[in-house]
Amino acid sequence: MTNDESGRREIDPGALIREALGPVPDEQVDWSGLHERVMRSAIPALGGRGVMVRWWEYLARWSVPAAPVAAAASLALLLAMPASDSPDGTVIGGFLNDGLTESESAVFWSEEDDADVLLYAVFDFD
Amino acid sequence: MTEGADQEEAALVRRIRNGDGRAFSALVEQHMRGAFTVAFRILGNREDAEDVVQEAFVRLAERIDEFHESRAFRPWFYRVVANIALNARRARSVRRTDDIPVTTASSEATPEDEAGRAQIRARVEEALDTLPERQRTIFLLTDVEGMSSTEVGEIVGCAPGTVRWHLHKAREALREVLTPMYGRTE
Repeated sequence: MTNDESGRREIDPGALIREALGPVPDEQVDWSGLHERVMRSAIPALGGRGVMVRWWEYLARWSVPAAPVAAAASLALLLAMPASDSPDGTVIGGFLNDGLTESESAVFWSEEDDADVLLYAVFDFD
Repeated sequence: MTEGADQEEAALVRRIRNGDGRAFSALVEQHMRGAFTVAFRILGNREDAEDVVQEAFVRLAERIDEFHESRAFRPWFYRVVANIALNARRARSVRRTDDIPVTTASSEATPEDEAGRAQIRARVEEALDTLPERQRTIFLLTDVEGMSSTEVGEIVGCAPGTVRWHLHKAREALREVLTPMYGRTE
């Protein structure tokens, strides 16, 4: 540090400004949230290359636009279904099981980890 | 950044070009903190810096083919980040920082201390605003953030010698503005 013409100590601007601005507030950043935001917004830009994503990322991407469609479809199904035809809801199960063999049906309805395998098979993820 | 790291990043870029989303996720993980630092230093606001990071990665996804593997990825990407941050700053749509980061605010500080610190910060920011844009960026990344003149040169697009010249000019200008305010009389 040197003196200027009026006898004042010349400051070190780097040190003064470092102290005044403080460190980068990276502890205030929700890094996993930011990572998720980035992936959600950047993946469509990579979509043309057939980028594969993990199934939960795929579902997260489609959950928002799919929600009203699913709600409308459920409502339509309820309105279209005559109450006397399916008092116990078996018609729905039957409809979903149509075209499946017994073993395929078992896999489809399984609550085991096979669900991951099935999703990968359906969506062709890596 | 080592040659090995550069090769690793080039391999990630190749995988992204081949449609590997996990490689993109890994690249985001590796660079989002550094990108945030560059953006925050230019903008001085956490939320704006986060938005810039997001936009920079979207741009990266769109222009991944423009990256030449012979170059180091980090400075190339940080240049994208710096350009977006500078545009945001120019647009003045950014919110200026009025808050002192939590890390710098002592729990024992009185309201007077806080007010004094905010005043110093405001004066320092005013002084920084007197610098030409490139000098301001070079000063913040080099003297405040501690990056090398080579790395900063790659980010702002000039030779390391030019970075040092701008740095010298910036220090001189800031000393002139800040010494009358903060230089104690002998």
